Amino acid sequence: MTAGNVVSIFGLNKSFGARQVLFDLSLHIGQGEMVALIGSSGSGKSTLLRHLAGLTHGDAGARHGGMSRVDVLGNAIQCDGRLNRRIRRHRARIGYIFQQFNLVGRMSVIGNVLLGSLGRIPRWRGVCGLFSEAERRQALGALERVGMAEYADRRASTLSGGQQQRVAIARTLAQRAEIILADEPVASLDPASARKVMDLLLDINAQDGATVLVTLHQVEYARRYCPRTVALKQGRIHYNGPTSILSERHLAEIYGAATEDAGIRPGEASPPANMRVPRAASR
Amino acid sequence: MAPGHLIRDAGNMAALARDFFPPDFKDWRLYLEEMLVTLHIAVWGTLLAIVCAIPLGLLSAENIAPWWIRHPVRRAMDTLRSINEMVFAMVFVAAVGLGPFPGVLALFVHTTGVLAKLFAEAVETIDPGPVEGVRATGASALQEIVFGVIPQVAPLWISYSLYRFESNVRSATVVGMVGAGGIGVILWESVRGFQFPQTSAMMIAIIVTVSLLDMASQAVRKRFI
Repeated sequence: MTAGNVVSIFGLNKSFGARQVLFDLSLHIGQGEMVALIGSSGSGKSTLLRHLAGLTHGDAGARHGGMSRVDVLGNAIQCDGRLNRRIRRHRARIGYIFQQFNLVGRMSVIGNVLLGSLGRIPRWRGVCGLFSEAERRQALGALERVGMAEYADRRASTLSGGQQQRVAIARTLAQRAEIILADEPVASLDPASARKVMDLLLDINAQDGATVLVTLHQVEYARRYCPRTVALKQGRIHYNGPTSILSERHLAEIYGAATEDAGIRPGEASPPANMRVPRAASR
Repeated sequence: MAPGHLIRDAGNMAALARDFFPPDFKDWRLYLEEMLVTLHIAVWGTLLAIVCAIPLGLLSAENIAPWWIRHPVRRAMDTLRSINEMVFAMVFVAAVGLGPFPGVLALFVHTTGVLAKLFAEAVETIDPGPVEGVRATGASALQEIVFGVIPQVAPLWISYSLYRFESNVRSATVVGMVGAGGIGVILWESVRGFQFPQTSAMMIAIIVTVSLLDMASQAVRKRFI
């Protein structure tokens, strides 16, 4: 719990009706870290990520006898199951990448990227869609960085999945997000597009110093890109530490109990033989 | 029910139908003028209704407004929709006098009820993903609607509005019969005066106008969708 923490979660519980999906969860992430959040389907990793951007809120403390609290970038996002009143302002500093990209399909690519500046400019100007020349230039710059500048005037819905995800990343760049929460960013992409997206996230982490927290279904991406891994199993943290010492035995435990519903056999959680993995990480 | 009468009185009907021919277009200037008034009634009634139906439709959509706003607004829209525009026309003629203005008000009020419901239904079928995408950038609630909801529903909204405009042109010819302006007024007068050649000329004018508008709105629809 050093001063450098950009994410602090204390005692978070979450239930959907009678089914509890997160159990008394606490987690801290430091400035500039790149952390993988892994776990089988239904382990609660996406739900946890949604709490950090205030897209959903935890259970009130009374239910479990304790006060929950989620802080991101020094702002209280939620406290005891209540979202902060100024959550919309706080979200502006938090970039969020979705598995299904969540671009506005009928708007142009550049229009989607410009939405990233909504949190920074006066509300009335945003509502009227009056973006300044500087904001346009910045949006175009963001598109250039993700290699999508030539598609600026295309409708977002005409792009492939990998291209849409890169536009979504450009949107968080236009947002000047200080932390990026990526929810299964590569789960619906082909391997080549997935690599491009993960490379971009790594680049933003290394060049801009943005903290990145990414949920992943495939452990091999965690091994390649993220020094630290947090594994969830049935709503509880099962592993929290360096990815390099994450052993086959850990993975078998993480995915083992849920193999039937996740459709993964314990052996499959390890990287396939033909994938290039840094030596230190594969041990 | 006495379907036999259709056969027994077929001669009378044929005699009546024969009276409608040939159509008498002597007063075509008057018909054209009144047809334009009718179109004005339809245009203004529909435009005002669209302007009001956008916020009211959003407020009666399940995924936008909380129940304590949604339900009162929906009941109010049900009320507007359940009363025929002819009834509204009679009420407004009594309130503001004869002429096109009560016709505009009648169409406006009734169409607001119809469009608000159709708009709300369109909003309820949207994909929540893009809305959440906009929300995640730190957008305000209004910005979520402007950038997340409106682009998704725009094609349907345009389509519904055009359809209601077409039916409002037809309705505008009818509200004239209770004195609410337009070609309906003179149509009703000529029917009651047994001036069937003139009546048939006016009916042809209405058919031509409605057909032309149908083609025009088809072209508009193609451009926006």
